[in-house]
Amino acid sequence: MNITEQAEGANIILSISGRLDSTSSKGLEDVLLRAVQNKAGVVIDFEGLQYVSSAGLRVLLKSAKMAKSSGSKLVLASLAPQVEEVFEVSGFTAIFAIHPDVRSGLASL
Amino acid sequence: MVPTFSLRVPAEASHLNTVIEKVAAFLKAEDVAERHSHRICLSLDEVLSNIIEHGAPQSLKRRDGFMEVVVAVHEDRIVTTVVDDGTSFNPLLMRDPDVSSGLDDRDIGGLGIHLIRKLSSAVRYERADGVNRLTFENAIGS
Repeated sequence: MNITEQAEGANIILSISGRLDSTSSKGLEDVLLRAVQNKAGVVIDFEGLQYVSSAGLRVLLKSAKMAKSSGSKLVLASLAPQVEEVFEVSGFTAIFAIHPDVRSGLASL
Repeated sequence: MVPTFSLRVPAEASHLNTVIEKVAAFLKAEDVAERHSHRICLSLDEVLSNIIEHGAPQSLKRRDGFMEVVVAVHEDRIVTTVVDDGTSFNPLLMRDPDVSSGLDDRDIGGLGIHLIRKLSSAVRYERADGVNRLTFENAIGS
């Protein structure tokens, strides 16, 4: 997994690529928890993400709870079909604001 | 003959990705569609991660256990069996998380077995001869 961070004013875009599994989820947790505590809005760009397991879902859920308590907005963008299927069966499509691309995700903040 | 993949490795985290990569390569060589292969590899990831994380009794310093994966590609379904000699554990007895609850009420755990259930057409568990045997099937009919 690879994470690139790009500041956009008070917001930040985190682009995640590769596999988000039990091995890599800790790396995302550190970056994402820091982002939702320090930024007004966070867009996670999943365009390069091929795979997410329950370990990755746990990090996203934890971050969403943290974002809510710290008053930050967390939105997701550009889910691949197989990633979206995992989000659907987990009920995550009802919890997260999911946008077709980063631009509309940023515009929603 | 049913094309079958079989691999037995120590129940350690360092072997997890190797097993999944080999299963993915086998399924690709058998012309299994990417969406089925993804579901199987994800379910396998969840089962093996559980075994690695929870399979050893707390009192044991060393694990020394094994995990074995068998994947059989039938005409209408793919049958995946995972055997391990860790602590007796039936994941099917775990309560399913409430995936309809809102953010505040959502529990962080329990999603792994939920994914296996949802992404498979059938899941079975048995404990016999000192090993756990979890089998999940994925229908691949047209």
